[in-house]
Amino acid sequence: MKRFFLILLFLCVALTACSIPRIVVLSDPLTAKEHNDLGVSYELMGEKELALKQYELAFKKDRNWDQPLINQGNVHAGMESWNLAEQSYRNALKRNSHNPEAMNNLAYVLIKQDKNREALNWSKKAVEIEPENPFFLNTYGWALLKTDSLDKAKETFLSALENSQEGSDLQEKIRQALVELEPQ
Amino acid sequence: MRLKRILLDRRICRFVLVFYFFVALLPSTGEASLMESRLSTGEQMSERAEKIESVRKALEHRVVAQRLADYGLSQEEVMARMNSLDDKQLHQLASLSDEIGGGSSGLVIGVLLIVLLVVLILMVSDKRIVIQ
Repeated sequence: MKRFFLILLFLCVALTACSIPRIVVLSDPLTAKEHNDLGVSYELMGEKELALKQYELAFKKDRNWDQPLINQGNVHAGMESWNLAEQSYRNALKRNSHNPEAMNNLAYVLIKQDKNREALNWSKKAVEIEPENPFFLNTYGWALLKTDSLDKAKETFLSALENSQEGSDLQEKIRQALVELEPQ
Repeated sequence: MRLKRILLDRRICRFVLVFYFFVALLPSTGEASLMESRLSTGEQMSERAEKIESVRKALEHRVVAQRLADYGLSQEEVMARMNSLDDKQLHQLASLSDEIGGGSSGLVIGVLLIVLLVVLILMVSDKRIVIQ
């Protein structure tokens, strides 16, 4: 009986040998940095799903590097998936708790979700690390505005305006924020 | 007098009020700042837009060449295939390269086949698997 089964098994394997799926070992030719750069190029092309896949490969390949997680958060934010973006920035901050860009971008998505108190904390931390960065100051200003600290918000926007490049989009945004503050 | 009457006209006042109500509902265009994605060198995405295109081509070239080699093509065959691809084809192949061969479903089928074979061999050789 045992011999019969063995012969049967052998015959089955022999007869189906050609149709047995081949095992192919796929090797990854790119480093974490290269996956990240490929992700940036896809993001620039507007291929968001491909960008997300490359960022994922990058942060899985280098488990200490935070930049691919920030970039992944940016793609999610671009798709208005605020929860996913928030998670990506939080993961980035777990890897590098002193990254002001992750803090600023986390504050941005928190403002979008009306979690203004927490946004205020993160944007304040970002400004403490880089007090002259006009982008961080702008986000901090908005967090202050949303939490009704109007005088402090105006002061922060003026400081952002002072540090921003003349004629830039950011300067225009800050001016709009100041206009918004005026009637109040 | 006539102007005053026009300005105080109830219909005009109502129109102005309704108009301002809808204007007030429009969201403000100013907003917080989101920092752009960065390359591994630390440069921002928009700073190196021209360079990024050539980086993409070079990386996609490497990905596709590696996949062809993984599937058993010789170095010469890989070179010949790569030379025949234009940018669009290269991009398509690079973006599909992880799905070729079944991807995760292929892995599941492979694992199931191995488990089935192990069980069959154990059965044939009068061995049993006991989970306690």
